[in-house]
Amino acid sequence: MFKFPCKQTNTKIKSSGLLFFLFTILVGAIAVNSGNNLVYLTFSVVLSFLILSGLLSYYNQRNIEVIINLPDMIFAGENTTISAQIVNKSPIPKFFLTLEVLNKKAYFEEIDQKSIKTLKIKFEKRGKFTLESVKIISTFPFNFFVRSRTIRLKRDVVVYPQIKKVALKIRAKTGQSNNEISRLVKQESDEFYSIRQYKNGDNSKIINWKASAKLGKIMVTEYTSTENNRALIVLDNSKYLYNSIEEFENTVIKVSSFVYECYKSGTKVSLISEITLPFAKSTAHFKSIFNFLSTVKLKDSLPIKKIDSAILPEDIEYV
Amino acid sequence: MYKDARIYTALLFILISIMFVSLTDKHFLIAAAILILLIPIEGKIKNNMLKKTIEALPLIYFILAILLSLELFYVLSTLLIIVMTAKFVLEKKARDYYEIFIVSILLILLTSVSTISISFVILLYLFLVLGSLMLILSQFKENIVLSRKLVLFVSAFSILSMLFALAVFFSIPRLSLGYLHGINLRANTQSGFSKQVVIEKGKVDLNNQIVMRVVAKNFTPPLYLSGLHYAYFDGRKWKVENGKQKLFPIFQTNNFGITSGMAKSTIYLEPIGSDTLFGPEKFVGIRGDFLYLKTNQFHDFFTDFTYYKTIKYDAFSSIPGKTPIVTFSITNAEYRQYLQLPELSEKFINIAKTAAKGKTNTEKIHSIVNYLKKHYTYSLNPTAQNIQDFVINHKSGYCEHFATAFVLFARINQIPARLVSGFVTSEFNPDGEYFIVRKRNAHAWAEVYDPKNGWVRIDPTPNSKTPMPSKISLFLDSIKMSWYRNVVTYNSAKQMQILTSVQRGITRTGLTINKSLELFKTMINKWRLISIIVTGVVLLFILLRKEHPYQKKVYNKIVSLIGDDKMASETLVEYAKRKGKLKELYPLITQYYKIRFSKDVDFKKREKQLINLLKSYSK
Repeated sequence: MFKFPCKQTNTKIKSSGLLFFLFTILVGAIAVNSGNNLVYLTFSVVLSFLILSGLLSYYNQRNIEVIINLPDMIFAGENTTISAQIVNKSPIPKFFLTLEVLNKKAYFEEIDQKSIKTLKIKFEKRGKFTLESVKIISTFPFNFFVRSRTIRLKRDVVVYPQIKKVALKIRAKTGQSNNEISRLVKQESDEFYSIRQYKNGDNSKIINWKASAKLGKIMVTEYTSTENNRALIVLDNSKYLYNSIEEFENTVIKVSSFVYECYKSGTKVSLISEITLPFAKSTAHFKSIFNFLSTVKLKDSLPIKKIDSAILPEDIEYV
Repeated sequence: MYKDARIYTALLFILISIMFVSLTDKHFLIAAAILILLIPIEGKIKNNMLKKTIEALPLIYFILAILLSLELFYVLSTLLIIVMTAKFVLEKKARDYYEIFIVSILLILLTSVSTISISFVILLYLFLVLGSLMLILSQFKENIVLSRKLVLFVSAFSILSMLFALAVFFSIPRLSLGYLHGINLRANTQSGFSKQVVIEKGKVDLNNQIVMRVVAKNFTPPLYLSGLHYAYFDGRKWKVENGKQKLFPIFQTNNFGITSGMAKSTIYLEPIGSDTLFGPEKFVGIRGDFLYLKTNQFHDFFTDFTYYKTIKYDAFSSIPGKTPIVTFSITNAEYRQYLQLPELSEKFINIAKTAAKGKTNTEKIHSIVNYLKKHYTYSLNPTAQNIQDFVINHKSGYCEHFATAFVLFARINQIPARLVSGFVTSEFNPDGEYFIVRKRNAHAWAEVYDPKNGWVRIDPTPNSKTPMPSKISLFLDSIKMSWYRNVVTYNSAKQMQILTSVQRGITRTGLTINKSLELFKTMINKWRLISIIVTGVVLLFILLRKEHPYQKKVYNKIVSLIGDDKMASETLVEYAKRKGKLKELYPLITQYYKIRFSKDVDFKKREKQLINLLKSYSK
């Protein structure tokens, strides 16, 4: 949730406004020329209409607060739902506000206390970037002016790498293509381990409906095998291993997709790369892995030594 | 037949626009009725050919109107109404609502130069309400919700806008270059007054329409407002002297023939389609927003232009005895002019001589007036073909017959006389303190020349019955007068007057504040000693109201009886309760409270009781 205190405004007169302005001048000229007070009165009304519409257009964007809610995890290439909320802090209602976030627009017709609209935004690339600003545009009240107010935002948004459907290849070279790997493919065993709250990505088959009904929130059953599942993943970002950036990007996507599978199945994951993240399966841990994967770049360093039990990007394939 | 709110708003808005133009001609209300009948087909015309035809209707009408040479006002008004109606009937986008709005302003402009009705401002307010609502609603992209807040918002906006417009109206500098004195788009002028005075057969209709309002504090009813004087009569009509086009090049002051001591009257003259200016009797000076004035040998005033809007001016009349005499000395040639006679029959001359009995001119004049009033009757449908026919045969006519007959009778008897046309009124509105002059008050009378007093008014017309207006109509007219005074005739002079009074007000307020401060200072100096004493007394009183030291002692004693750890926030009861001694010490504490807080007169007696009680507890 972000509140934006800084603002920049910009007003453009529309063709209808320009015509009305010229028309006002014409009426004024007739009034001066005729000396007829009823023409003066008409001119005064037209002029007040123009001036007050300018003022209203200004006040229509005052005393409002924009709140934007971003989801916990944003993955590249996926439609991300953002909720945009405009809170009217003054008793005067606001009308016809368009909120522009990352070139996507949400139109608010009447804002009473607060109004919420959702926007679907697709981030094309992984990475960490700054959401510079959001813009409020309005033609209120009479479509004479387009007034836009830029609300500056110093907010870092982390877009995780794209997620694709992946599976592990069967390692032919070693008999011990190990328990971990085979277990990883298998999601659950029969042995009960614990009950925990449902988290995004959990298989719906493991939802414990009885417990959910009792506790009033969705709960899932964990099994011992899941608890013991471990995956050590290695992502080597040495530039000597890749022929192109695209190849490296593809590798990052594979690793991320696999990590995501592990996250969904509740498998403990440890990542070895530039940094080493120990085995864990908490959401915070996975967020740390994804954070790293969203910003990881090729490095001028020697490749990492091979670890037998580790899962390498080559072991992962798209389904 | 469900239509959304914006359609109905547009409908009402167009109806209001039509009502504007109907202020000038009620026939335009037919267009409003047609528009209402068109509601069922609104937005339902899908056929492209039909759509194009409707769109082309204004152009077709315009070409036809030009070919038929219709009156410009009607052509333009009808054209604009057709444009709005066509826009209303066809399917509309936001742009169409905006165009309806612009066309409506054009219609208002057209009305504003051809009407002075007070309803204009009421309609203007409705225009603001509906116009702003229509333009706002036209921007809704989804379903329109005419919420209470939106309605309130629009109402507040329109009120604010109207107030702002009024502020602009009164403060905007009046830079009238005077090129357009109202436009005669439509011959909507008040008649009743004609420069031509012709004695002929014909019915006269009385009309109650107001042509003038006069603020004349120095005059009592009936108020005679002269317009034109006539000297030459050809037997059928009086010759109009349009004047010598005498220019008054006094642009800055606009004061024409004004000297001190004259009686000032302010005249609000409706467009009468004439260049004649009217003023109370002996009207010799004028002040107004004119570039120049014209005058003739009779000192009649004519405007620089025929006005088609309400004009306001001050007329200055000479008051016998007060004003330095403004004489119009008559030369021999003029004297002869005022004795001019057309070809008259002997019978007519005989009647004139019979009517004028007496030795002096005054006696003769009275005798002629009495004769005319006695032997002739007032009629609005005279059958006399000419003045001789009136005097000899028919003997019934209206003011022009009587005044002409009098002038001729006087001249036959060698008394210089002339005819005056103008208005006479007795209708005084006490609400606004002004005279109301209606079309029906158009009048003609005579003036005779007296070497001592100059021209003296003689009205030989018998009195006719004048209906008295009701109080309500007088009240309503006073509102109208206020509209004329403050809006229609608002000018740079009035603006300056307002600014000056505001300036004076500010200065006066400043002076009052200054005076009050001075007074305050003096009071402080003068009453310093007294104020010190008063402050001392007040302080003493406050101190005396404080706890008596003895009471404090008793209090401390009670506290020590309860214990030694009383908290500052605790009362005695609370403290005793906490220490478990409330039951035991209750009588003592209540007794103390009674003395401490009650307003008992027998304080000493109670105090003794308390001390005794305390002693018993101490033991």
